[in-house]
Amino acid sequence: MHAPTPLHRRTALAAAMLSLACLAGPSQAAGGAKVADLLDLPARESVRAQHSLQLAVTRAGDRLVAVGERGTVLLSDDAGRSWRQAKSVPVSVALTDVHFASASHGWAVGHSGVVLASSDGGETWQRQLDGSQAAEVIRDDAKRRVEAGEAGAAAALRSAEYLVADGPDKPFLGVRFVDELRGYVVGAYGLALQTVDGGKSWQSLVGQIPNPRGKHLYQIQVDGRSLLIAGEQGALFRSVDGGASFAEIRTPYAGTFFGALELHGEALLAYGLRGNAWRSADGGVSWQRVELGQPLTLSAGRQLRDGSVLLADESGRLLRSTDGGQHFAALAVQPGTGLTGIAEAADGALILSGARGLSRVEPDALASRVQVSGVQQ
Amino acid sequence: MSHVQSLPAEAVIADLKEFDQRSGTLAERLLFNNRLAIVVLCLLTTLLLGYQALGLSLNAAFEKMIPTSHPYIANFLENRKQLAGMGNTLRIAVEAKEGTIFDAEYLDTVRKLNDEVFLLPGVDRPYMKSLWAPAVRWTGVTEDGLDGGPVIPDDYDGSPESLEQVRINVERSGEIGQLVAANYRSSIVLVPLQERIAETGERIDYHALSQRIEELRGKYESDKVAIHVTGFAKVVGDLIDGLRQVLLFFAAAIVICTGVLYWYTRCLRSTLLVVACSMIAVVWLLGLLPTLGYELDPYSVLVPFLVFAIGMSHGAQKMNGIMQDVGRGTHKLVAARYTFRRLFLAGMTALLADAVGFAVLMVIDIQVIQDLAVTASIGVAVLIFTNLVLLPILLSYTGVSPVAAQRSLRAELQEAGDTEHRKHPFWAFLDLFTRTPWAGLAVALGLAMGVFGLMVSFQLKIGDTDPGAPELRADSRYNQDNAFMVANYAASSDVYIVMIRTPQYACAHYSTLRTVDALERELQQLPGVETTSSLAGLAKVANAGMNEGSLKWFEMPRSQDMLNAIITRAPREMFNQNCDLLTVYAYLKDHKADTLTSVVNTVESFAAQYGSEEIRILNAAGNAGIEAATNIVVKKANVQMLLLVYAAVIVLAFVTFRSWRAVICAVVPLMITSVLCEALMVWLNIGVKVATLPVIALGVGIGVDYALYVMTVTLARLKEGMSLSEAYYKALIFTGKVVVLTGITLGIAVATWAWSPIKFQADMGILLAFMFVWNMLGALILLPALAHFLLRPRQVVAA
Repeated sequence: MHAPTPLHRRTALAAAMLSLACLAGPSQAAGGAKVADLLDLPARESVRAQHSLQLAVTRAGDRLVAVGERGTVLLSDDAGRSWRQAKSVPVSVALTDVHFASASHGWAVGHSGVVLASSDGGETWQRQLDGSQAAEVIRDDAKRRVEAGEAGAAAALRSAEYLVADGPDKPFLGVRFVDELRGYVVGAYGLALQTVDGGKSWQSLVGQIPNPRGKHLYQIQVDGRSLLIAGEQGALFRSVDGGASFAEIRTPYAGTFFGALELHGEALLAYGLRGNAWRSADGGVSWQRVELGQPLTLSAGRQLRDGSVLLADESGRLLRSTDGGQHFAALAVQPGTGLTGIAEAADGALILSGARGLSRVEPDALASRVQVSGVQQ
Repeated sequence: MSHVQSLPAEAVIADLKEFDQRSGTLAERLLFNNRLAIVVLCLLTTLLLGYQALGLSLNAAFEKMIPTSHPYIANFLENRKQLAGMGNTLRIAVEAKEGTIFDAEYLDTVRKLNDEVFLLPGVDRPYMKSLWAPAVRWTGVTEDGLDGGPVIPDDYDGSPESLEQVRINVERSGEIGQLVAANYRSSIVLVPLQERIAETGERIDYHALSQRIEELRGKYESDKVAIHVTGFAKVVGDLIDGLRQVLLFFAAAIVICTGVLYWYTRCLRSTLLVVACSMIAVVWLLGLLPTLGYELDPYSVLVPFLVFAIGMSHGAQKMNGIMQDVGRGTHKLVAARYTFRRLFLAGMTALLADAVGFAVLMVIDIQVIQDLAVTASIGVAVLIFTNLVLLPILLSYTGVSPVAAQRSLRAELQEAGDTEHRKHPFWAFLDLFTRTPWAGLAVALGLAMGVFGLMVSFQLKIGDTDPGAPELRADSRYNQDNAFMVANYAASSDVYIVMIRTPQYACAHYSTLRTVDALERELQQLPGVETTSSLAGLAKVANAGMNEGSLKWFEMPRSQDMLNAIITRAPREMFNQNCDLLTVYAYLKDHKADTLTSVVNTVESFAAQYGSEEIRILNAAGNAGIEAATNIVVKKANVQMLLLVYAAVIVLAFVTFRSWRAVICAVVPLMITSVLCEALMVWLNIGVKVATLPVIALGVGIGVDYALYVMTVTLARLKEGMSLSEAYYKALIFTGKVVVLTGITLGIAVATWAWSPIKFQADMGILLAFMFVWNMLGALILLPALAHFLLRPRQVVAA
């Protein structure tokens, strides 16, 4: 580079000539304030909200409600054509699932064990529970079971103590409510709670679910008193008594199920990693693998009002079955990669949540198809 | 010519014997009575400095172009070594003109290119990436964990089946938008560079590297494949290429100046002598620079032009004087001594005025500009010797062509005798401006233009306005390649980096990441920010990745064990080895001043609120961050510099004229020109930047010469009792001619820069040419018009 220059001299000369002006640059001020915990930081109104990661979408009456990263809640009153941010959300953690029991009353769950409730159709939200409180609920229940002398309760209490010690670091991943009072939330490491008073108080379901290794529970589906939970390592749990007891359904697959659907006509369809979709027509006794062509992870599923079944994979493919989940055909639409949730708008359009926000698929696109696969017998 | 006095006419001495060798000042006697010694001394100096000039290097050192003592840049320099993501990286995109990249021939081309690039000196080979690099892998989640392999499988054989396999691997590689364009029509060979070549320890020669890349481009480009290359190394290589072309402009300037001078004098021998002396000045300058430890950079490379052109104009003055004396019959030596007597002091004052203009640039805290100031000051100092001393001495040997001398004398007599000013319509036209209504008209028009210019100049932008590398032209190959990259890949060429300093090993603490995440969120609200990235964002992605790719896990884990696991796999550009420095990247839409200001303000106010000893939030690195700091300095310097240069010019003019009225007449036209120059910048979409900052200082510094030439003579004649019209007409004939000559010569010489492949040189050329020509017109039209209102013979006497 350049030879040593009389830098000092030049700098001194420059400094001398600077007598007219001072060299005060912008100062590095330090206020020292702490950024609030994401549980206490209200979600910010963001110009990017509409294109941010959305993790679930559902209906609240005719309205559509989607939740996603940074506590974002988006609302649409025109069947998913336009979206706006909810007025107030008290947290900035990622929200993973949302469900409305009625047009007005809904719940959302997310990271740090947060449960939010809305009673005005999703416009404003209140925090009902966080991870620390949830851990205490689970610990107290385990304590009670130890005192009652239940088998295996001691181990459950030990892991519950860890939960409390860990603090609010585990996410809830699924939420469903039967009505405005009775609802269920499930999450990572086997977290599961229920409420019968609209979320004012919560009770642990951990003791009722035969999940001693604390597999992640990704989704819960509710139909009256029938509950279906899908999770890690091929886990499926079913309750027919409104959550008083759960039975494990053995599946032939050892990978994660991100969801399971109880289809009308008594078939079960569980879907998850690497294109694994398994169907059982006999309540989970025997299973058949559904051939979907590509080993791509299935991230969302839903049975539509017309009875057809939709699955979405990570590449953005939408697969539809009109025979109760036996055969699927890819739709000729590409709503974007990283799909996370499916809802059906009032006008029959599909609303998809995903990595780039929300997209709407017109009802007539459902008729399009590009390929047909069949069940592997 | 500021000190042209009404000297008593020297006696015409045709015979040297009649001339008193002891007459004249001490300096004159010292120089002219030892003519031969001086010539020999100058010859030796020229040889010595000419030899030294061979050691002069051209360089485009990045650090010299930035305001190194601005706090942002200080932050950047302090942390520079640890900012791995600063990315001295070449990106070579190979585009398939037909079809897609999933083509055996295409992939073969990429492989060959990859292999050749791999062997280039300075390449950081383990980190090189392309479709063929073993480090580029696909990964997939399986029931047992992760599965993966190279994107191009080991058993690749170019068959349709293996091409299909490549396609599937690319789709799950996560490289779409990074190494592979989303439209599958191009892919990138990513070439990280080391500052020093590993084998030899030498610094990378960017110019040589750039040439090797061009050779590869020539070799592999075809009707099926196009090659696009971007990266700092390529910019520097192209810049140095551009600098070499500057020599052509230099040649053009010599030819133009020589032509104009010969046209004016019609004396070949003295024209060549003036050119030779001006060239000697340039040689001395180029020799002194390496001797004093300077080098030429893309900015100061223009100074030799200026020195040459200024030398030509002063040389022309000397020649003019000698020619008139010789024409009257004076011996050439005596004529040279007379001219020296008359003009040495005057020339020196004018050159000092130029030097003041240059010296003012020293206040700007950017080294290239300070170097430019020093270089230009040295050049002007050298001119005092070569063109004020050596030239008259050489002319005393050679004399001038008798024909040309007679012609000059004839013209002088004719003009002097022409009291009705009929003979010379141009001078007569200019003379109109000393009277009503023309004077009023000119002043009104001048002020109207000034006001108009002022209004327009409020829209003057700071910084660069074009996308891509602002040093090069928008339509240059480089910027076309850059546009290709921006269009096809998720990469912005404008990267703003915020540095976050934490205590050691605290870079991945949850509370640190929460702060970083909050800052990122603020930045994302800005319309000028396209995307951001940081360890906080990466932690979310990694958290999802560690949970089987489920997006439901897209959140920063609170567990420190998880965070530690994440940073062991995180790329190095996110944090440093000590884990006490985090970098937040904001990829901007452009590098316009508004965009940069919005980012700067957001970071500053965030830092003001959340910064602490534990977590210091520091502006700014990345090309956009550095440009933001440069803009801040440039904006401030622009005002400072204008104030200083005008203060200097006003003082100088007052010392020379001793009349505030005359100062107004001289300075107001300069101010109007400065304002119009800013308006021109608005019109041409040229922002105030490092390159354009010196223009106004140079323009005013040199421009004031014209006013000095004209005004001193006018004042002297007014003192003798002439009317303004007569006094001005005399000034026009005596010095006005040379003002026109100088204005045109300088204007044309700098206007040739407009063809430079380096954009800022072109901008400087256009603006300087405008300044020189308009200042000339201002001195010839507006100055007499203002004088009409301000200067009457009585007032001059009173002053």
